[in-house]
Amino acid sequence: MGTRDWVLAFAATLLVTTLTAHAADKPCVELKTSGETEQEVVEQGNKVKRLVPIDKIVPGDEVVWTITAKNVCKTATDNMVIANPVPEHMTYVVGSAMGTGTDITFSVDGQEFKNAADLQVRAADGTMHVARPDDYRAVRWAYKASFAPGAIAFVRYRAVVK
Amino acid sequence: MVRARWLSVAALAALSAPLFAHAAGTPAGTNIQNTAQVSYTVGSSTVTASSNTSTVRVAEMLDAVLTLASSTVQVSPGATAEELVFTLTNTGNGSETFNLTALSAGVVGDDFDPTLAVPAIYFDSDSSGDFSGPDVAYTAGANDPVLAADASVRLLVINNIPNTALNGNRGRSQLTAAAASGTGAPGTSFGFVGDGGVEAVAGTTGGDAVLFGEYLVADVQLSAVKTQSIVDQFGGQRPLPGARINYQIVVTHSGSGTATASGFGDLIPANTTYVTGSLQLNGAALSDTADGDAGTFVSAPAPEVRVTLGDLSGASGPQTIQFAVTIN
Repeated sequence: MGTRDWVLAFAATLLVTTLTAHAADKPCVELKTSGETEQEVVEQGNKVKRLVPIDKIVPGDEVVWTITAKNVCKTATDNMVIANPVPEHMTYVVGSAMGTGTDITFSVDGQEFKNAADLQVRAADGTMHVARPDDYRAVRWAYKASFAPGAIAFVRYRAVVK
Repeated sequence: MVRARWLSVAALAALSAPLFAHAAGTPAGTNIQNTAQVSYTVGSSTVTASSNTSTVRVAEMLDAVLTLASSTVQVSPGATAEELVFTLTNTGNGSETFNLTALSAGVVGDDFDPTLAVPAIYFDSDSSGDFSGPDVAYTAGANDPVLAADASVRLLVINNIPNTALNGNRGRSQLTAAAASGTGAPGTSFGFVGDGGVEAVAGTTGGDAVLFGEYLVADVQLSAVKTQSIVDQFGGQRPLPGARINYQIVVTHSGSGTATASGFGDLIPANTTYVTGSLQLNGAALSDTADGDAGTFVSAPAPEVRVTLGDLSGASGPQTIQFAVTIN
């Protein structure tokens, strides 16, 4: 099935929707996804790496995906979980996922999420092997603490264009 | 049927190993989309939300690779229309037109300059792997090859060999294929000329490929002249059933080079039967079986006499092979 369908089905299995008392209100967490590339620039005589808007990318280039969450309500939100399917035509850079204050898990089958060390994939001949970069299908960041009103947090990972 | 066959001449041609051409990658113009989701609880309610969809469009990478069917081709001095067989592959991720140029006199590092034929570049239109009648000449600007990502085309560069070239001399001829969208240092952008209007960027090859092949002059020829005489059962020379045909083949070397590991083979004509034990080389009898001597008679796949002649040079002198058959 297409990437869009998978994204929607994935969202449905990952998250439980329930009726709320304020069903007409917009969500308390605004989510923003942006892709950038990393460039080495010289600042005050020093070489530093900066994230810059994508100019052009070709196969082999690395994109840094940043997902930013902002609590726009007056109440704290709890148990915040951010999830992102690795985009089609891209390969996750193993070890690149980061998010302060989160437990990070990964999925190779789009359904179960596990620690990187526990990710196993069944090969065509039936044997199990450790997940390779191409096997990673989604990343999930689970916040332990409460998310205060007005707070902004971001998570990030890298992927390479196939 | 006389078939003088030499197995290798002077220095052996070295076959070039095909270069591994990488898969081109995500097609130029592809939209990569990314949408994230969040879930959280407020009190006892669980809420989900999606982010915007961030879209990144894949640009076109310009890359080309040339390989040779054989990096060295053996030729005689004065030979004409000798081809070098190239394969051009578009290793970028978008469809691209390639401009071709050939160069012989300006290629350094060789002993002589082959002379480019006019026209010099042909398509291997009949896929024969050599220069043959149906092959269509390349004309710059008229039939520049257009290759999809990962596609290849076989090209021939045609040269004449000067008759002053000496045995063992090498002459180089070079083909250049350049992406029409642009060539330059890797990462150079040529504007929005890629597939679907995306940007086109030089890849690791710079968008072009240059490769030369070599002609190796082997000034050696082996020629074989066959004669026969018929002796019938009645002392005459009539080709009757049961009559014997005595064949003689003289193999003569010419030129300044050495024909190494040369050999001769001749099929037994239809409607005749080989006379066992009749095979001779330079007057000495050869056994029919495959043993330590130079001669063999084989019956499969077709009856044939074979004689190994070793390395033949001008000093070897003519080699005389004899054998006989009877008419069935």
